[in-house]
Amino acid sequence: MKNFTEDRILRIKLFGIFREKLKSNNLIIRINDNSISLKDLRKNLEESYPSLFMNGIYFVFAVNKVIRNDNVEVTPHDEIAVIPPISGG
Amino acid sequence: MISITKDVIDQLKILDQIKDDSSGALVLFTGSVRNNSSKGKVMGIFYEAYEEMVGEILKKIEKEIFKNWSVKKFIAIHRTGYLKVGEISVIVGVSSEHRKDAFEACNYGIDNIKKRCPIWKKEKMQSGNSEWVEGVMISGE
Repeated sequence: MKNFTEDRILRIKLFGIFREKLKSNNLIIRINDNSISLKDLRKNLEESYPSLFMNGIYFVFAVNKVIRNDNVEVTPHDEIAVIPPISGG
Repeated sequence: MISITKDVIDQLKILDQIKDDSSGALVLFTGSVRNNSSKGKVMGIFYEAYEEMVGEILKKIEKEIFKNWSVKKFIAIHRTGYLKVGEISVIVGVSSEHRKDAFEACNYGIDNIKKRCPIWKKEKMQSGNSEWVEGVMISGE
């Protein structure tokens, strides 16, 4: 049986429609290794919340407040946010 | 000066802050909540932001403006929370010696706020419904 420690927990910031639909400012995702690619994280979100992340609104990731492509690896020490299409200004 | 605020934006105060005796030109852009959208009559808009990231991006935009134009003073402020029709959601102000730089820098400022800052708006309609505005994909660095 695997023990999930703090080292393998990602806290993902949510905003806008995602925050509203999931009724939370953050999503907790447990990962199997010490890091995960954003590509795999996207897949994880799509499988966990298909109506929102797969068939719904396209999003990108911000890692440590910078938009990153899905090839990037993240760890629990990174600040990760899901960014839906923006409409400020 | 750049910031994100929950407070009412006072455009006269901002105008005063960017005035400069060595500047012959002063350009101020204000974006405010209008009473209509493609969805119908609007009562107000709720703005939400990833504030820490917006702050960093505004600093970068400010740096780019000072680098690329001859600008004396620059201000960009975006407001969050619920705004009624007519209230100012965003203000960008520039002072420079000549008008070309002031117009171009101000335009660059607001254009880049709209395409790079993680800010979202939800319209409250007269019908009673509220809907997140369909936005644009954020531009990376």
